[in-house]
Amino acid sequence: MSSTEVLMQLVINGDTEGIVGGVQAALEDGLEAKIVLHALVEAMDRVGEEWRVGNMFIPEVLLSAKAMQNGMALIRPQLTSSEASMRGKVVIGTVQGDLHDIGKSLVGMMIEGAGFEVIDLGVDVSATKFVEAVKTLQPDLIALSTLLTTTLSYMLDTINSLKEAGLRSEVKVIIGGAPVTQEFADAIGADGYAPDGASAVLKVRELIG
Amino acid sequence: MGQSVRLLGIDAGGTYTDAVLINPQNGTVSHKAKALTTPYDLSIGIGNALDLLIIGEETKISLVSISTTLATNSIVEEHGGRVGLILIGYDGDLIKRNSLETRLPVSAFYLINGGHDVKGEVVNPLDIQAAEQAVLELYPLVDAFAVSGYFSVLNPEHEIKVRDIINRHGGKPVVCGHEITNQLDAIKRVATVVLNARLLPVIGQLLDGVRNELQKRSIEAPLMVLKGDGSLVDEKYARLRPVETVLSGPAASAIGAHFLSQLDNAVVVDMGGTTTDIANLEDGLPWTNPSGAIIGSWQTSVRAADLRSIGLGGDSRISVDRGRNLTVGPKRAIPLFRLGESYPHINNEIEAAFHAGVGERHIYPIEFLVKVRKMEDLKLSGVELDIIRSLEDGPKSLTSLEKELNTVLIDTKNLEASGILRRSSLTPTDILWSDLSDIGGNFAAAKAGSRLMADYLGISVMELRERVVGLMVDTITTEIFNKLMHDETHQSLLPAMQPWKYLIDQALNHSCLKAIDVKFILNKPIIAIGAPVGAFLPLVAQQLHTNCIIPPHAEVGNAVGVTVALVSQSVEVLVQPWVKGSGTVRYLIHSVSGREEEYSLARAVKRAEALAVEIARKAAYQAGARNVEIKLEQKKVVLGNLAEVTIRATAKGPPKGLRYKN
Repeated sequence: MSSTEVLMQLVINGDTEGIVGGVQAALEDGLEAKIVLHALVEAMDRVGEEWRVGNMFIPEVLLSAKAMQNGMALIRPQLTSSEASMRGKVVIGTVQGDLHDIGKSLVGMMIEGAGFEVIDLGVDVSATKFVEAVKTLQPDLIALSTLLTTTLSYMLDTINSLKEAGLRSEVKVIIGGAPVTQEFADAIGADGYAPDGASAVLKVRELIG
Repeated sequence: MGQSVRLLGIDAGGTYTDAVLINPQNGTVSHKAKALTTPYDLSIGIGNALDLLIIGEETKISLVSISTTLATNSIVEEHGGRVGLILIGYDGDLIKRNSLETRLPVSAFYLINGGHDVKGEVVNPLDIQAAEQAVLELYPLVDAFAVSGYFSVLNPEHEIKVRDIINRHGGKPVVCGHEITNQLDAIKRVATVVLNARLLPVIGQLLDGVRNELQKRSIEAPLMVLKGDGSLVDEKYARLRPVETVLSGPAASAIGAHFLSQLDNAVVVDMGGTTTDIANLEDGLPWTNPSGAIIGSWQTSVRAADLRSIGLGGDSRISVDRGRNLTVGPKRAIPLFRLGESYPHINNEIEAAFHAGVGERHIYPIEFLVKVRKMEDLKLSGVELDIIRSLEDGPKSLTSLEKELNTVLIDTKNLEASGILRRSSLTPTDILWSDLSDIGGNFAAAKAGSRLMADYLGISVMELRERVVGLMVDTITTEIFNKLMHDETHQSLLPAMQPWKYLIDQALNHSCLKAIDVKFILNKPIIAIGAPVGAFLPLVAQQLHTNCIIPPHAEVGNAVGVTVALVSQSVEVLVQPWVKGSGTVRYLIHSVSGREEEYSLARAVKRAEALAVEIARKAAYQAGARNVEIKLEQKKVVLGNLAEVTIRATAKGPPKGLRYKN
């Protein structure tokens, strides 16, 4: 196996500790950070695909994403800022009133795995906080999540707050979560909707990739 | 014999002022007249047009409606009153990010604490003391106030409080964001409210002048003004909301084109002195852009017919850069033949420049500066004062001004922007003078100016003419294509990347590619409106492989549109859920009259409908309607068990003075 294949296998296996040694060894062998990055991204693409067809399960995907993140931490100092922000910058968060973390984090990791820089604002994120993040971090896209029907209205609040701040046209907005539908996305004026992590990645690529 | 009732329509464009009389019984144009627009005081040109219109003693005018490009031109050319702006609760970063402090045309700018959130809840209490202080400092310095609060469309209380403070100081006009629009977007809103305030004295002067001219001719009838969405409003209403009259000229031309050609679907191209406006006529109405009109460099929240306005017209300034490339527009200039009419001495100077030979001079052959307005209490530099003094007894060329003031770099940007000076140069109308009938003026000046420019470029006058017309035709063709592309896809064709430029050039018959042919085919006809269209639009239609229709009375198409328009007022009332702390749900109703609260969605919607109908009806009557019909529309967004509902009420009816059933 070539050293990039070794790295890919470590990510796919979700070997969160092994990847650290693997990346270190690869760098010592003189492999460029950029090449390592490509291997990690490609591995996550494959993980996404495996999950989509049902060969992998969410806990496994999360481990792979964690492995990817650990590997990224080692190479990030050697990447130029444009290489680090990769395909684009994405801000993700669960909306106000909702504390569900897992689905949102999974989607975040998968988007990151696809080569985007992801900033996770966590859960119970108010419209004001999303606006603040768009203003200061200037992402290309924000992804809003909710698992509750009672908090759907906060998605609309966030979009309305972006409008009032004159920022709506500067950022794409995608939404997801169990109660969310394409119809709902259209109604509140979001740019896109994704029913699961793999389609979220495709949607992000379509909108800003 | 009884009196014959007529409707009087007036369109004061950038160059010409047109007037028509329409018989309300059968909708025919019974009289029409065209006079020159008098930019320094539009009412003079309007008076002249009225004199040319034969209004017999037996004619009774039942309604006067006007449209002008005054508001649009004032914004584009950056004229207007002095505005004091008070912003409430705007985020400092957003102000900086949008460069509001430097970009907004205001005399002074104050940011005070206050503002609301997305539910219309107070974020910070209004800093009354700061507001009092701001008003105190601003009052002596400004003509009008603009007030804009963060989320004021969801709760206008802070704007209203500040408005009350200003009103306690005296009678200077105040306009608030929530009064102008009910759309979210604090940046658009502040631009709109500032532009509105800046236009107040401009529109006031116009309407006073028009009233005066009408009275002089014993015309006593309601006076209505056309808005950019193609509906009419009463004089009083227009005095408060002049920004809504932007783009009304082009809206008039679209309505007029539809009325005169009886075509429902077409591209309407209206060419005036200052601009050429392209409208997409769909089912008899100009297409309106829901996100608001763009005027000059401003994205506003004004709902107006969506027109692509190009700074290209009969009075566009023709200039030549250092590389001797010819450009037409976007700035406007007083045509030489027009300047020469009042000041024949300019001919001598143009002739002299021609005989002196422009040779290798790096500056543009000849342009004149004219003082057109008294200076008010503007702060001017020493050089600026010298320039004004020197122009006291008539226009001077830049060259002689430079000599006189002993300087080579004269900066007149401020003076031109504030409307004190205007520039006069060669324009398309000068070049086409001999084709245009009865436009008067000093032909010798037009001819001499054309000859000088042609000589400078080393071409014949005929070639100069071809180049100028060609440049304008290419621009109009490309912009038509670009507009239609944008309406459908929200994507712009321009600015195009180099390979696309080749394709566009090829489509414009410039044959730069050997093996590829490109054609732009427009699948609807072009209706051409305006005085100089004959020289350009048939060529544009040829490039787009379609027909060009110049309907009868096309040269007064705008005035016809103004006369046949109706009154229409739309309002939106928003109902949104509000989840309070422990899961208690309330519904909020946001309207221009404030924020209300209800227990259930059904009750809230009912209340919102009643409010919308009441506000729209009142607005339509205030705007001068009679017998309004109300249309209610509802847009509902289901949010799980909750819902957001927008109620839109439109009240529409004929204007009061119109004594016939439309």
